[in-house]
Amino acid sequence: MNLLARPFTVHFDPTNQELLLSGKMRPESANEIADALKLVRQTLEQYSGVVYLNVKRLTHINMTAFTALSDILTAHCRTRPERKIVIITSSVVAWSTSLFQTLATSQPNLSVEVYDSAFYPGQTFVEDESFIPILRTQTKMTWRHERELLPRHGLRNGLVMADICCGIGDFAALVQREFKPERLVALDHSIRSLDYARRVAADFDLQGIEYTYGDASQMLLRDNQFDFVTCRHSLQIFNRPEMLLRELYRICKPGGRVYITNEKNSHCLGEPHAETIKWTYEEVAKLFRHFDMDVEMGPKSRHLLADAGFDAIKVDCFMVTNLDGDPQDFADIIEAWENVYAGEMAVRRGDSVDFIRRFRQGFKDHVFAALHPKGYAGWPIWAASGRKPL
Amino acid sequence: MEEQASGFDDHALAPMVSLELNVATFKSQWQFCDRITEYLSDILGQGHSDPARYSNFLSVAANELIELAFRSTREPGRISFSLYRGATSNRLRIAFAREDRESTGMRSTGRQPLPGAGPDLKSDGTILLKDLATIFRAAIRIEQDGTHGMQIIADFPSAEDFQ
Repeated sequence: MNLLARPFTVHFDPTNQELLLSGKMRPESANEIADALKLVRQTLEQYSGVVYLNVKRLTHINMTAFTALSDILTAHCRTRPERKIVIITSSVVAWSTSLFQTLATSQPNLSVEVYDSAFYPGQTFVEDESFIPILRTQTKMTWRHERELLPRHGLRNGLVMADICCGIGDFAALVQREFKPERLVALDHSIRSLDYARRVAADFDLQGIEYTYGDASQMLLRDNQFDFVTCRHSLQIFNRPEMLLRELYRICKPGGRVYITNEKNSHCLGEPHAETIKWTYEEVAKLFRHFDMDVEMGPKSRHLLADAGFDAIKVDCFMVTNLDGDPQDFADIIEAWENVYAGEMAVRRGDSVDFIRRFRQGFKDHVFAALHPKGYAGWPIWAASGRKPL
Repeated sequence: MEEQASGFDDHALAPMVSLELNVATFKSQWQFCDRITEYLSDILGQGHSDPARYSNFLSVAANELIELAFRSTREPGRISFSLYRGATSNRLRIAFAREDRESTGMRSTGRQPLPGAGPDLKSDGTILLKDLATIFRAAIRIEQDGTHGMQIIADFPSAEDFQ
């Protein structure tokens, strides 16, 4: 029986003068973590100014490790009172701030900052409550396709399932209703989105979904416990998708599957006005790239899953169009994109008024195509899944 | 500590699960502390509005008490880990045989000391219980369990609001 606790890692990033501790630190004695302690000690000795100790992905610690770490930090604070040490904790890990605050209380040159800002680069753009109806409309439109695709990717009734980066929980609610999983955990890093998800579940009398506030890149969920893990439209707005995939792999049972969806925004299309629409969505891809997001990720899904260690990979592509139900729904989505991409992101990037005007035109033409009686407008999405080997 | 400990209400708690094993088995691998902690914490998290976070939150305190038991027990004998659920709190109880040795500082003020633990635990044990009680808003006590037994009891509020 393998009883080894999930290992921890310690890494120093000299660019940011940041020590990063992650994982689970539960040694029997301080000797077991001597290398990590040595790195902390050496870093503090070699670097001046502010040193950051980032523990936001440290999910567990015992007092043996904490005491050993505290001793080094405290001794250093005393011998070098000019030195500033900032400990960065996570609001996700509920014990972390209180525990490390005990150190800050006794050392004036040591402080604790709680990491609670948007974890995904794109999260700030979509967390606004005004965006929620659009997110729901998007899910309504993609669900028509995914409802049919999901069984091909291994989803069936009665599985133990997790929806990571669940957002406002609408997909989880649909899965709960349609596939009746034995257990469904829905995780997101937005408290506001989770509050909304809980309210919707309560309104619809949907019981049994376990909503959890969490960091998708270092989840508090155990290894090997889910038959089916979904992560939709999120890898593409995460600046380190391979890190997120590693976590999805970890929590998936051997033999279970991880299902992801991503877009290729530059392939959004429409007629009439195909050229202006094409230009705008190519610019969308560049705009996201500026903010470290890759909305061209869809076709790369197979590659990403293979690199993460999955086998039996399946990839599908479907096109959400204005012919899927009410064309106004499609048009509403595009208008919401225009507001966020042209109205906020392009402005934040510092784009010129002329650029933004042209940028907006492509969205307006896309709406026109969607609502035109003979028009056609599309939004392509890649759905892919891989099996965690037995 | 004493004030918190006086708030215990044994009658309002319903047993959830109990795990019992030989001390020799328990002490054969340090990683058993982690494994038992995670098993029990998962169960404690059930029913909470955010099971994963609540489980993780409690696991740090529970692990410390389980590690304390690991360091405090001697073979032979048996050790049990039990969970109870009440309306306002969840309880972890760790019970094991007491050794007839001089004591240790694994005490919370006003309670019985815990014989059998090594002298190295004296200061750490005292600090530990105080810190854990504060950080986890828990009531922790260590006391005799019958003539030959000891028990570590921790009550954690069940209505933690992490937001």
